[in-house]
Amino acid sequence: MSGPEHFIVEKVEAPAGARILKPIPWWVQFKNNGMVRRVFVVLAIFLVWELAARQANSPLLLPSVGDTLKALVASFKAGDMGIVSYIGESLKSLLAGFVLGTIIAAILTVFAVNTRIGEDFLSTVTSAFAPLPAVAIFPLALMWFGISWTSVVFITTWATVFPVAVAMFQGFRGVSQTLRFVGRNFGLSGFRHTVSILIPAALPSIMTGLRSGISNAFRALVALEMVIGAATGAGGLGWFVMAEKQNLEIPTVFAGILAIMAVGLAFEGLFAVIEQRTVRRWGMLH
Amino acid sequence: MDGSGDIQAGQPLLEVEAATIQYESEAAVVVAIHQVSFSVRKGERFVILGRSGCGKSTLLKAIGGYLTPVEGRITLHGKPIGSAGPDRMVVWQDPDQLLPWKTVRQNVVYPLTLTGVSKAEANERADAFIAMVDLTRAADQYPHQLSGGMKMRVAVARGLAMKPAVLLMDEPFAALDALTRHRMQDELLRLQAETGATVVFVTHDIAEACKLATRILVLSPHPGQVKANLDVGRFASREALADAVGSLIHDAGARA
Repeated sequence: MSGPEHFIVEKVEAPAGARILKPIPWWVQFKNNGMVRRVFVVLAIFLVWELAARQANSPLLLPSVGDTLKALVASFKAGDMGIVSYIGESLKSLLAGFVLGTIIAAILTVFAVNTRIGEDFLSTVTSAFAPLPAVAIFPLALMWFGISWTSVVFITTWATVFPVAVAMFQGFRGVSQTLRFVGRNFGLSGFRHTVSILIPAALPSIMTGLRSGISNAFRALVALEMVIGAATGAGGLGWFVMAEKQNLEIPTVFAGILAIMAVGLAFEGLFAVIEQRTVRRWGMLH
Repeated sequence: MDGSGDIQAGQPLLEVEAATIQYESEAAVVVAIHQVSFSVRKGERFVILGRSGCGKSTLLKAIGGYLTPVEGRITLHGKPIGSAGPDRMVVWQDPDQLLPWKTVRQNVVYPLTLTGVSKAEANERADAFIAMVDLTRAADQYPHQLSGGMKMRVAVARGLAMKPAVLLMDEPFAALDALTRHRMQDELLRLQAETGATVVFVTHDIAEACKLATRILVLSPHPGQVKANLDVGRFASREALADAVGSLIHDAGARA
């Protein structure tokens, strides 16, 4: 091709009145769409799975995609006995721990931002607990709270607190001196300065922290449900998968695992949407 | 002596009296500004000029209320200044001084509403000042969509819209490219003439000082002290002024 080369900029809409040299053909646009490519990857995985299942020909070890999806649909339709109520139970435990954990993280952050000892406490505690999986403190929860929903919430809270607190603290730390001065210039101080300047300025880090907090809590929750789900009365998805395994309902086990992944992805998607409408729109995150 | 001759003639608006400012580095307490005195009258374009390290930004931060002098006093309208506040709006050197989560218009409106201006009037005033800096078309854009020069113009509009007693500017154009810087200087002169604002402007650029100032305070470094306080009107030409300021700055540097 002759003529000047063009360069590609990411996600820029042609400004009104711009001279269009040539439109990009639909299949190229299609190919350049990340979402489309990811759907292709998922379909490819399903294809490999299906082929492997047919090859293995052992529904107990590896059920086919079709059987799994059928089991998933059947379980969705099963009402109170089905997967929907288990999802509900998991979400209840997850959100209770996540909200409580976020509140505690916020309090820790306030201390860490305002006092040196608070900062020392937060950085010591977080580096000490970072390598410890949240389920590892389950024996302690068992001693203190017994086999109960309280134990479950304790673990999900624990799993939320540290990633959220660290990210919040770093976020506040990273607010430029210029923006702090600007806030004071407007006559803001104390609580109003925090709410009107520091929190929005730290929002990219806060969002990242909430995101890793909820996924950390969800991973801990599913593992915990597999151990004590039935006994606490808060069954949840982890317990659903274990119970179906004991019933040898293997397609349903696979369906349950898909459901666990879907719940995780749903939260990711929710945060992605919130980020798109806030920090990305404001150019604070690229 | 001052030509502006209104009711406040002879009565300085902003007075710095024998101010000494220290800061603490990790190993020592350092004197940044030593016994500096000057006064700024209403409507003046008062430029504080000096090499880097002469404490000129420190001095401006003290006037802004972000630092407290260990000795001496700073008064505005005859009263000691308090902590930072909207009567001393600041335009900083950092182009990222707009709130990224607010549009250009919201950035100008927000501080106005904080000082109790009604929503309607704040919007009206913001639009007028945004028009004055020629950014009406960008009013609904977010700061990250603007160039460095445009961000600076918004910051100037935000400062002037607050109608502060004095507008403090801390090397506001130093981060801009040369062409944009010259345009911004012209624009500042025009805006100041239109609004009659009192401006205290810090710079290390002799040409910029000579172009903008009605009065130039030359600081010598280590610690920052007043080398000269020049009434620009007494010089026959811009060249004569630049020569005088140049030799003062050179002198101040050599002695340090």
